[in-house]
Amino acid sequence: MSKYRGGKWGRYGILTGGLAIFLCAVYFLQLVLVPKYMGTVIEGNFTGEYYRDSTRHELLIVGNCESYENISPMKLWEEYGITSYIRGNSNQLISQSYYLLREALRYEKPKVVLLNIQAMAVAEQSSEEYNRMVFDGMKWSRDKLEGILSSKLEEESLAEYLFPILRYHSRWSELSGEDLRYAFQEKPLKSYNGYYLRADIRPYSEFPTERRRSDYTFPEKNMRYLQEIETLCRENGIELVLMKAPSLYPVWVEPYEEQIIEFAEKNGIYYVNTLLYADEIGLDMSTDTYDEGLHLNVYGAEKLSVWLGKELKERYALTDFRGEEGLAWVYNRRLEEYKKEKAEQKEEFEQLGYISKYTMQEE
Amino acid sequence: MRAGKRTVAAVLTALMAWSVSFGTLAAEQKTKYAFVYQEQQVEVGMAADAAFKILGKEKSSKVLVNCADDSGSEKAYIYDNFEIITAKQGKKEVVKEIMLTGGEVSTEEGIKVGDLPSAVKKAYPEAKEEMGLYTVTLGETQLVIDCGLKDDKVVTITYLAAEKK
Repeated sequence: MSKYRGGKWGRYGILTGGLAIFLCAVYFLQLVLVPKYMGTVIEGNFTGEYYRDSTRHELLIVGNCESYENISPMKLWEEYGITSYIRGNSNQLISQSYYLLREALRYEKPKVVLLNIQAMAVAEQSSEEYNRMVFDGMKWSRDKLEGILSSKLEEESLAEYLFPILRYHSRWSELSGEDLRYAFQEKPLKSYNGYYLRADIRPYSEFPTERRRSDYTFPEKNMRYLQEIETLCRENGIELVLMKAPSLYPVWVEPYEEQIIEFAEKNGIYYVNTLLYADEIGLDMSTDTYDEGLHLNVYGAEKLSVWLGKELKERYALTDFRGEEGLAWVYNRRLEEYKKEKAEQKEEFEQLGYISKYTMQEE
Repeated sequence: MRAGKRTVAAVLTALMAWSVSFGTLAAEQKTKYAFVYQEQQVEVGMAADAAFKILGKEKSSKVLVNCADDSGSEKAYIYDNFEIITAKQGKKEVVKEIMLTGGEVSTEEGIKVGDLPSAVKKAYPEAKEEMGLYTVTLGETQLVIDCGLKDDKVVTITYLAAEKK
């Protein structure tokens, strides 16, 4: 006879209850321990913020930092009424762009997809942090699973993505108030439809000499995923545009350009290398970059957006949605916030010579 | 007479032993390529701080990170005749590449920017050439000498870590 009241069922009840409490505790602990990306490196929020945007977009921009730091969807809206979103992350590989795009097509069907192609030259991920920033915020789906498997580093395990606590359990010693607050509270948006706003100015300066290589052929895997992106767009009736942003480093060498032109011609895709149009765009690298020519600041990004928006609007007859009340309300509200932050950053930069919330990041 | 032969044999044996040990010592001395600047060695993989103590103040420097800054970020330090690329390894900054860009510095074997490919081949007979790039490996280090696409003269010389097999 059992010494527990209720016998066998009582024991099961205690065990089940204990297990439930344990799992809840682990879950809450995980919520606390995962990085919140609220302080210095905010880019870790970008993948997740996409799901919080309730609108649909005629233009979807995909790529690495050359996309999310160089094009301003807010300016595209203000100037042309174009609805757009950037699905970009730090060091986002071509394969990752494919899976993020494929996932986005579950939610919407844009008219145009613009892919920044700098990542074609990147063979593999350089650090785990970049992979985590791409995938941690992504909703679970076949796309996420295949995306992780396509790009995880040797030392990374799928289990750590399935159960992030396995990866972040050691963060307990570096937890901050933000970790606790945003474990249970929605985080403020950090991007403007995927755009990373920087209003500081650090003029272009000399880059080191790039070591010449004997072979500049794009990795086979990247070519395969580029073709997959083309097929995905074609099958969904989406116009694919390839773009090289006007970032001056890493150097976009002639063999890269030739390979992209060849691909674009073979597949009947529009390709624009904005490096060739820097003067027409009006870029001035003494004022339009915040990191000495690697990326544009908001002033440069707005110039590029005005130029690019005109090009895309004319070429693909993108709709001017500024007259649509509901959509205009959402965009204009975000545009106001964008302008406010731009003004605040400008003022802080003029006073201090730097923007405090990014300073630690660059030290 | 027999004693004389023994003496000669002993001297020869001693000489052979000395030459073998000297040869071994010489081989042991050179296990990697390093940039010698003002008689001090700057090597790939060494702490950046230690390298800068030898090299002095750079002309300019810049962060080379292409995306969000993290532990993998790189930095370039530009000097008049060479450039140093460093990378972060955890919290430590280490020398990742050393590139000679001017003719006033040279490799230990005497090759400098502006030299002819024939001089490169003579100094590094084991170098593998591909598209004007001459590559030699020693231990865990590699030297890549760029003679341009026309393969007519040295443009840059880079010290870097050898590719892992």
